[in-house]
Amino acid sequence: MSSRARTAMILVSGAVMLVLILFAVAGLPPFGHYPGPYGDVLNTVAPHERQIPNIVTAVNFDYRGVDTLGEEYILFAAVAGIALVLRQDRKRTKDEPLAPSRTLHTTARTDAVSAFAALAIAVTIAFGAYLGIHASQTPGGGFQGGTILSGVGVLIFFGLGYRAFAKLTRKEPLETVEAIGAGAYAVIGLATLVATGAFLKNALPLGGEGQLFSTGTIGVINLCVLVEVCAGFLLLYLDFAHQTRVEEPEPSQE
Amino acid sequence: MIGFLAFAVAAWVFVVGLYGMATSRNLIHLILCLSVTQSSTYVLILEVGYRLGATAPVFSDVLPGVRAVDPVVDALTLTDIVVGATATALLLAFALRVHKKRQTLDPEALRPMQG
Amino acid sequence: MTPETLAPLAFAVPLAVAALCAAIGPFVPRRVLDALAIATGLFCTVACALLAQAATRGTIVHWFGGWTPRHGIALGIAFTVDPAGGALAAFAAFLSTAALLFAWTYYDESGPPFPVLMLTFMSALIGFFLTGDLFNMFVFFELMGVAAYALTAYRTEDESAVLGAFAFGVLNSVGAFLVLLGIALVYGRTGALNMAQISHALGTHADALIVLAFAFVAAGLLVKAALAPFHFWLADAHAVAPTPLCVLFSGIMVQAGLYAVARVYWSVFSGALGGHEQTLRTVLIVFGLVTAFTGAFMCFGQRHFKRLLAFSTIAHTGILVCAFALLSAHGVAGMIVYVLGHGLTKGGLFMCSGILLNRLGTVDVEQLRGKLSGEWVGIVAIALGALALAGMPPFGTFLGSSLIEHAAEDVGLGWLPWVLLIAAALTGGSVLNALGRMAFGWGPPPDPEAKTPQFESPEANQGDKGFPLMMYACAAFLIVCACAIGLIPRAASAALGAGERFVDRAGQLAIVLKETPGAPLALPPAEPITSSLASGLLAAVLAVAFAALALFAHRLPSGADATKVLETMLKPLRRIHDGVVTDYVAWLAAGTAALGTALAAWMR
Repeated sequence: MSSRARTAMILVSGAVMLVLILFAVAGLPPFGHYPGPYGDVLNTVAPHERQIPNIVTAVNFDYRGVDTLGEEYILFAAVAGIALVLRQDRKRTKDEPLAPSRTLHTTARTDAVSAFAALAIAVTIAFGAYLGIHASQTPGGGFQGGTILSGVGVLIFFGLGYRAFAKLTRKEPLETVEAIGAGAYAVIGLATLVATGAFLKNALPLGGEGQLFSTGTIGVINLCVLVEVCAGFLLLYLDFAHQTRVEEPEPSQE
Repeated sequence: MIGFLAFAVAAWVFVVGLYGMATSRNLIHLILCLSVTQSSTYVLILEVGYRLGATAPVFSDVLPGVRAVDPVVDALTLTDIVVGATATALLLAFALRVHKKRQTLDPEALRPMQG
Repeated sequence: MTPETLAPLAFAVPLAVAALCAAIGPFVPRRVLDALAIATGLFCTVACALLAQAATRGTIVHWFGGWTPRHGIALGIAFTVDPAGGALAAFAAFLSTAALLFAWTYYDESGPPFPVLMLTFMSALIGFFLTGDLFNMFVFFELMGVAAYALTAYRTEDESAVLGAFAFGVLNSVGAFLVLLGIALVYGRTGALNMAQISHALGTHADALIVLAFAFVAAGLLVKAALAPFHFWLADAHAVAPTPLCVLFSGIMVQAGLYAVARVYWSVFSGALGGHEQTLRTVLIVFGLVTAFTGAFMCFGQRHFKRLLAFSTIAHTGILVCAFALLSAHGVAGMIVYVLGHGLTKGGLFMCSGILLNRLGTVDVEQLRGKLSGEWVGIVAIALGALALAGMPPFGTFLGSSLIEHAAEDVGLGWLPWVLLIAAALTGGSVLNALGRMAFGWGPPPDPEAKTPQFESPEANQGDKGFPLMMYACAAFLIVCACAIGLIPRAASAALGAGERFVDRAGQLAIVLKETPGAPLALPPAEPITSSLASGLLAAVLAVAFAALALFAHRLPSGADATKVLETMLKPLRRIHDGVVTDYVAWLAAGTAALGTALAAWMR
């Protein structure tokens, strides 16, 4: 199709679709007047039944825990797929990221960047860990905390260089850790299935409200997700960062 | 009126993303337009569960029973974001790979099969 | 262990094993992982089959997390397993196991990603068929998608594989967003995500929101199902994906999209949209026929055998959409049997193409001209497969067609099965056409000026690997099963009963939300198929006739000119399939706009 024909087609189709969606949303309840009942029932029931203040976490890891399991495996599959596509030569996987190489683009790294990165790394670790662990008490959770923690990897890459990053995020242990995080979620579900007849039933002691170690399986699953997301994203960054390198036969200086 | 505008934003962003995708001349640009379309779904989902004058569904410093917004849409959006981010990452890896082999990212020049 | 616990087991065990494979992958030989994957596949097949059988005594519901509904409001996610869903989940697991067995000889040292991604894909398929929650269905749609995109790009040294995966990923992602758009609309109206609960809350009257929500959800799912004009990604992806994957894509993944449309229609929207059946039927049949003949015409003249089979899948999607469009239990029954029969046949044919690639190094029909002579097992297998595609008795596709025929007569569309028969015969004929060229060197001499399209490199070491018994066994087994489906006694009755259960919205509501126990499956007597035998045989004859025309027309005096005229007529259609992903997106938008407008305008 010529580019003009395509543009004409998308303009017409887009306009029609816009009209259709507008017609559809005109039938929704007015904005700001959510009628329920799903959310209201959960807001009423969850704080007491699960001793949990953060209802969003409860929905994510308990009431609709299977959705989160699926979502975690989407991340898992995507990271596996990216590794598949970006790893040049699948036979030499062991030391590949640390093989002699130099960067493709030679912008020098200044001291200011390194200093700022070092500071930022400390803050990020603290914040990410806090956000991830306190999932049930305050807004946050395994996904959010894990992503922030994995940002530490990016900070290391920019502030301390590729070699430091590759040394820290060794592929094999990370892959194992990620797999354990993902698998643990499924295994917890299967274990509760065997124990109580319902998959992912919250069967651990619930603890008191407001305490860190409470809410039963929600806390455990949250930690699994934290670990998996962090490891997964670090692997992802490693694969993408490796793309900025060019293989060099002679040993390169640090 | 403001309410309808809120929903209309989601509709517009969805369609604009599609337009960007269809008229794209660069695979990376296409993937980002895909993200744009996706973000419109976040907007719509969150808007549908919103309640004016209500607080977040986190009862750590307010008592349960206070008017709160819908927690389910928050959970759905969280899932949606993760799903979208990972799919985007995978597509970006594909684009990277293609660029390495063919030195171009123009969809019209990159045709796997024809006819 | 009650049957109720089989549902989450069948879905979660492959996920756990996939993580295990990823964790131990670097430390154990590849064969161990492959064996683990095959064992898991077998387990899931058996589990889902038992589940389906138990579901005949009453639809099974498993509430995840133990969150049973309170006062008619669903708090958690449910797997709602009826015989149709259970049977299709079992079929998905079965086909995955067969694909894994086929891949045993296929790949050498490529590491853990393959079994890990295949297990994840299988798990997503199983969950997709079993779920009773709308958003959960979306999550499995995306899981299925991401695993599929990654696997399509498996042969990364070939950049057309990565490009095919890219187009696949982009289009299916847009489809997923359309589904999400529809889900958001429905959630805004009803405040529920459980299918039964939504149907209860939607009521019996349709307004713009409900019609358009259904249109968006259906459009998104039909992208997966490769309905025209959402179908462009399928041919590109099939041509470049590894063969075990093509078996799954054409065998069950595409049909899963259509199953979901049917499920969403019957379980969620049929109450509200019930009064507009005629409109929906007309619109869907139009789309279905366009798809069927687009696929059928594009089949002819395809040099790439796998791409040819991909277009035939598109044609059969058109046929299946028409079967669904009949909007009756009888139509659903036909759809399910046809999916089973077609999946087995197409799987077997793709495996044959994989054997070709392995033994002879190419799937280009012209390059293989005459090379297949003497390989009688292969020739017979492909010929049987082609006739099965056309719908010859006793294959499963024939049984499905006969059910569809009766269903069409029931709603007064007696002409429809004949038109669909022509489309099926065209696809069967094009496979026979390719077979004739490959096996006996028949057909017009190749045009020396025709460009040689780019083709895939061999997927495994060929030639000196010896006789890949596993591959032949798998291919033959699938074709035999395709035949056997049509011969199972009372298969038609069982299908009809499953169809009745599938469309019973009120019954599902009672079982899911009010927790009343389900009733055993009623097995209505099936009409005798003798009346359809004639049309089945006619289809086979037509397929042979089409193939003969394509192969030998050039020897007739006016034959060469007629062929040229046909070729020129088909040129615009071929030009549209140009491999440019932005074109595909434009077509997707156009198709969604058309579907939405048609439904909204005529349903008011």
